[in-house]
Amino acid sequence: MAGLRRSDPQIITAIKKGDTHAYRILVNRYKDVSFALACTILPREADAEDALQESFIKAYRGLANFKGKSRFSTWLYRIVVNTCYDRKAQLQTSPFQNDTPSRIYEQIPDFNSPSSPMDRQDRKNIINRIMSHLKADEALLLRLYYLSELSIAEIQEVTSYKNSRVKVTLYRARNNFRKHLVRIFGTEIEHEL
Amino acid sequence: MKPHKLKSWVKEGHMSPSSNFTDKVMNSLPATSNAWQKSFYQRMWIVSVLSLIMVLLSLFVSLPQIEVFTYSLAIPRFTITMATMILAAFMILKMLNLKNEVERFQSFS
Repeated sequence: MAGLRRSDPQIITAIKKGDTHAYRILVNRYKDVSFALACTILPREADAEDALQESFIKAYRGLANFKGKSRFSTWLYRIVVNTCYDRKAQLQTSPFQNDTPSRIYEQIPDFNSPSSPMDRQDRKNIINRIMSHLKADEALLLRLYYLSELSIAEIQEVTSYKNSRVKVTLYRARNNFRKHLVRIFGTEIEHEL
Repeated sequence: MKPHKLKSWVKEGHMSPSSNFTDKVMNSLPATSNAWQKSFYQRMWIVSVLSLIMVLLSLFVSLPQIEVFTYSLAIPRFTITMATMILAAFMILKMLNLKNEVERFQSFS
């Protein structure tokens, strides 16, 4: 448990000194957010998990060259995103062909019905379906900004997009995400928030 | 909808890989650790220094011009030759050891 309180640079120093097991802390710390990013690019969870495993191994191999100019998380997410795009090119599939616009609103429990209240899992599934329905770059930027909590500059570093592209795509992503949420949960959600 | 509220919605859609994911990553890490590399380079450094000493000693033994110095230092030529040979043997052993280390690493990765 003590290891969980160590900062990223402290853990990286320990790994560089030969404490290989310290890498487990970094994997546990970043696996969930990285997996969400991987799933944005690769639709099948199995592919995303494979690409993520490869990314963590690449990051481990590259730790010796990691100078700490940026945060470890930013550096790792860049590896994850690049590895996933490479894997996607290998698979030659489009991640957003599986969920058509008509399917995204299917089988959603009635949000207002007291007999079938929407639980956390339902909401999670719906949010992920909305994410998979957004354009690849929109969903990726939305997750990088809100889930990974990166700044615009850090997102630029991860995606190699220009500042204006990041801002415009993020603006579109917010609007589209909001539009889907309102369509599913009703207009009253706008007043609640 | 305010942007900061969107954050909680996006966060609700968090995802997790399989429960044994961390173990899978840890088990597939390459055999070479940074510590291994460090010790490898340290040994390479020792071998390099030994080779340099050996070259210098060989010069003492072989070059007639330098022989003057060995006389002035009152070190018998036989002693220098023996020291050179012992160093050469030690260096060969070290290099064989390094070769084994590299082969062991290659078999893992």
